[in-house]
Amino acid sequence: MKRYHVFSKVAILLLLVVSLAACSSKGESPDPVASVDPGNSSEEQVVLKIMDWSDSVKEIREEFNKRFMEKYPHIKIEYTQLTIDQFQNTILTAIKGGNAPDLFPIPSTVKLATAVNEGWFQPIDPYVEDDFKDHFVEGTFQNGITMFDNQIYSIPENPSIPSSLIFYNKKLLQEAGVDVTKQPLNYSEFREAAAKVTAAGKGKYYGIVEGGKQANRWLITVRDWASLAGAGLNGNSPISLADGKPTYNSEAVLGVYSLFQQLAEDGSFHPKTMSISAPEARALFGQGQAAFIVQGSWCIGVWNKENPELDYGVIAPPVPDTGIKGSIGIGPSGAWMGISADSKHPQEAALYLQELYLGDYYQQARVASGDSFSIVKGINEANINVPQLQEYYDIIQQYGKLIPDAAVRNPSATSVFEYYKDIQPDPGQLLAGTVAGAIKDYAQELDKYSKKVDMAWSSSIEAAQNAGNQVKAEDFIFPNWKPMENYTAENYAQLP
Amino acid sequence: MTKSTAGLSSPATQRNINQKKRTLWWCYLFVLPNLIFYALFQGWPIVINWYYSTLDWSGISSNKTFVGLDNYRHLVADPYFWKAFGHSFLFMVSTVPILWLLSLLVAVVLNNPLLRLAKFYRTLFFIPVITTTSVIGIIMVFIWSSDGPINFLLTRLHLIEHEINWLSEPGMAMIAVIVTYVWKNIGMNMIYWLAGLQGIPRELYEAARVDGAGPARTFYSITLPLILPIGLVILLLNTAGALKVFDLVKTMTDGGPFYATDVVSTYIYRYAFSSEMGLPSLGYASAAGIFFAFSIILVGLLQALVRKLASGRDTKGVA
Amino acid sequence: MRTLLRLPIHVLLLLFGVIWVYPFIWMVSASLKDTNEFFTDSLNLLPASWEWDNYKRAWDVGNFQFYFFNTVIITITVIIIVLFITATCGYALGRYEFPGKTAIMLVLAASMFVPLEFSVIPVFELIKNMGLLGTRTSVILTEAGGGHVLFVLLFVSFFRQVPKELEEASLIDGAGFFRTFSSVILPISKPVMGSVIIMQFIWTWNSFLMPLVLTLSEPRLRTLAVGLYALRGENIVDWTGIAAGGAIALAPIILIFILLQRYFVDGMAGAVKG
Repeated sequence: MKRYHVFSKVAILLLLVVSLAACSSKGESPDPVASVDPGNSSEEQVVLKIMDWSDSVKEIREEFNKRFMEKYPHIKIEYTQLTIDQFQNTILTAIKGGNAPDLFPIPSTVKLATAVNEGWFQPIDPYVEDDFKDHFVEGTFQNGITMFDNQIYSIPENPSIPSSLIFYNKKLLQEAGVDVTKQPLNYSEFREAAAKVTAAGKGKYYGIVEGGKQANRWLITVRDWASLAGAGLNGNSPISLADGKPTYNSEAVLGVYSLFQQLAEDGSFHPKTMSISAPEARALFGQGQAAFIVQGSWCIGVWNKENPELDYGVIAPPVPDTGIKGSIGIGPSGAWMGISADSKHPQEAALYLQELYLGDYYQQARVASGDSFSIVKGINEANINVPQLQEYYDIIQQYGKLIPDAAVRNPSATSVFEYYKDIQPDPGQLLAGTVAGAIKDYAQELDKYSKKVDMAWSSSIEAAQNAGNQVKAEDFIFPNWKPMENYTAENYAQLP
Repeated sequence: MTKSTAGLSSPATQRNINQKKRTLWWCYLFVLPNLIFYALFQGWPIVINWYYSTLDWSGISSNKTFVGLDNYRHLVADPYFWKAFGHSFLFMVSTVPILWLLSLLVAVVLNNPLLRLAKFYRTLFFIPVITTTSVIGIIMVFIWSSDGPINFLLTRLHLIEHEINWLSEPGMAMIAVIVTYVWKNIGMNMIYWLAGLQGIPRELYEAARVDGAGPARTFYSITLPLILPIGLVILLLNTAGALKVFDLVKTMTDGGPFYATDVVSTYIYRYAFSSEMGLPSLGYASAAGIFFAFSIILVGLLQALVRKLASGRDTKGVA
Repeated sequence: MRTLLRLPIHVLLLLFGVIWVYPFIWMVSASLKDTNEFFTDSLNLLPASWEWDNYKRAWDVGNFQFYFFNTVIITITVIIIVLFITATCGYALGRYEFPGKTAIMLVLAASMFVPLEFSVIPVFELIKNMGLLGTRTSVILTEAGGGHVLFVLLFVSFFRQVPKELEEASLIDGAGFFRTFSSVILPISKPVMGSVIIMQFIWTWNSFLMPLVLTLSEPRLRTLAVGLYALRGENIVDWTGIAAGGAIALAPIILIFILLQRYFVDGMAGAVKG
């Protein structure tokens, strides 16, 4: 019945519009809806356009927008959410067209220095109170990361939290008789656990499920897990902190590949793994179809909402059988939202940011929902009420260590990335290939990759230098970095 | 040929010349709008991509360096490009004949005027054509999955012993994409063929029947020769479509697992738009597009040349 | 004998027909399941819970009430433009000889083979320079852009076989070139127009990337295909909502096809006869 209702509605609407359009829209008259002219409107109604990809908190965000508009009736929020992929494909064209939204996050592939030099954003400082910065946790605002020439250009969405921990399904592990309370597991134990679960599942559930279609997920796994084994890889630059070179074929990295190859050979991966992306994988885990999944903290909110009966926990990634040799690198909180340089309403945009971070709803609700952590002081302590989020937080405190970033040492160092083009296939794609069984000799592929990166990296440094940037290869090498320790301001100071 | 010359009546008076001239102007005026739309939205991008392909440019920053043919040099040295290149042709070679034959078969069956419900069947076969590819991509991930209906059916029929992870296994993913593409596009081809079949006068069939020719014979000696011309057009359209396939691969497998279904357009897309740590390489992607387009056009020209030579010899022989 | 033969044909056709629409039925059934059932019981075509809410959600989240209107306006305008430019082009190319004709045909045909995923940027810059960013006109223009080789060919071969007496009579009556075209030639080309309408309808209705890029800053001008995508987030995917949205978006096209199907086949037939 109701379905007919919808269809007849559709049909009627179609007919109506057809007849309407037939008589009116033949000429392409300029669209009345399209032209928003804020200057002329009598009520001083301001339209703020905002765009990002924070879909796991969509409902909270929309509620926030609603409250914001109620509080400031003269501001109308037009909020658009895209996937990261869509956002990247489109925002650049929009910026070039002078058509950028008032507030938008910096695309994850672009460094802040590039964005500022290209004139995408304007400083936030003139529009906020002087003590604005003081509300955020230490290290939120650093030159080269979120600030440029001591001015704020961008505010991070979250604190930088690795997204490569393992979630496990308590019920399945129990059924298979596997105990993971002793952390961290080593590679053999993890492999065995996955195999046991798969055997116990008899085709109903499996050891591990991943969003195998997404190479970026594999890449994060390689970097973080290998770094626990001492590889010193991270997302700040292609250079390993361990030896100051782009080394992707070290013992530590090969160990991770070997583990995944064995997991695949054991048949421990959910058979759908290579044909799905992360959201599907997360849903399958939520359905109890796999005992393990490598994911980030944002899953917690999703599962608690979608699969309230799911009993799950978090553990650290496995470490080599010979023991832990490093830590998961935690970079500075990355740049996110900034005010477009073309924005006609920077004051209102800043007001939005102020409410978003320092207001009494958004940060609190987000942390309380279990979605993620806040970079605003005091919020996490007061609002984490989901045990898994607390566990996640504790594991990160234990296994994650702050790593150095060349951008902090020398803000113009990031100019190199304007010349550096990715080498494909990258380690993430190679790991995907290994799991799919398409790559047998991953060592050779990683060897090739390391060499190619080395060449591309030195030529981009050269290109950046030729363009007049003060940057050298040494900016990315940190001899005083120690794999098991935080890299602090003092360490930066010790550098030559 | 003569019927389509510009003037319509013959005496070469001044009035007639004037009219001819005016007709000529009208012709250009009539062709112009389409050419303008073509030039703006297809010609211009192609031309500008020539230029992009000589740049070391990310498409994002304002850093553009002229690098001449460097992009092309790197392109032909990349084994993954050749892999994608090969896949594009493999995809074309395997989908085009299947589509061509299968849709002809469907069309011949549905063209029978005595067949009831022909319109109903026609609609059934056409539904995949009109469904948005991005939605189909999402659906197909489930349809082909290890516990999906295809595996269910195949194991029930005892055609396979164990479920196959179609989209996860490098050797199988291409087959799944090809089957899905054929499934999606048969409806359109069926319409093309039906159009061709309806152009054949009924009397010819009647005559054949009177002469006592069976259905196979009739098809072979009457239907086939008459629809072959449109068959060529269908072949051309399918070839072009298959070589440009993008949406379906992008949404179904995104070129994976590990490039097993990577075709040139997904290769281009990857380089032009997505990147992890560095910037995308629009210049390089443009070079890949131009290179690919030219290899296709070259293949087409060679084929045409061979045909021309062959047919030239034939007519000479006859004369 | 004949009727005996026909039964197996029907059985076979029906069997294949079911296979052909199976994914579609699957989509409709998925659109009525809840997320859990969607995953655990994806084979079952009869939903256990009948979640009509999916449709409501797709309609609201996808902003369908606006997007539907946009899509219809855009699609109709595009069809009108495309009909006009391809019919005129096909008429000139099909019925007259003039210098440059072969070159035009070749250029149009060659473009068929160029992959254009990366034409987004040049087209965007073009629209920007025309000052049309963020307008419905920009979507209409880009959707109507391109060579339309197939349509032009359809018109060319159709017009080629129109008896020239028709035109002669009209010309003798004193009608000009354009009058002849618009009042004599165009009315008889209805079947081809039917084909063009259906095909262009399908393409424009489902087109995704260009409308997305061009309406980025004006969400109110989005089309259905773009709106549907909003249900697929970065971290959260509303599968059942997508299925419902897909079904809603599909309904009008099926309707159009059923209504115009006769013209469609006849149009193609008329065009290829020549």
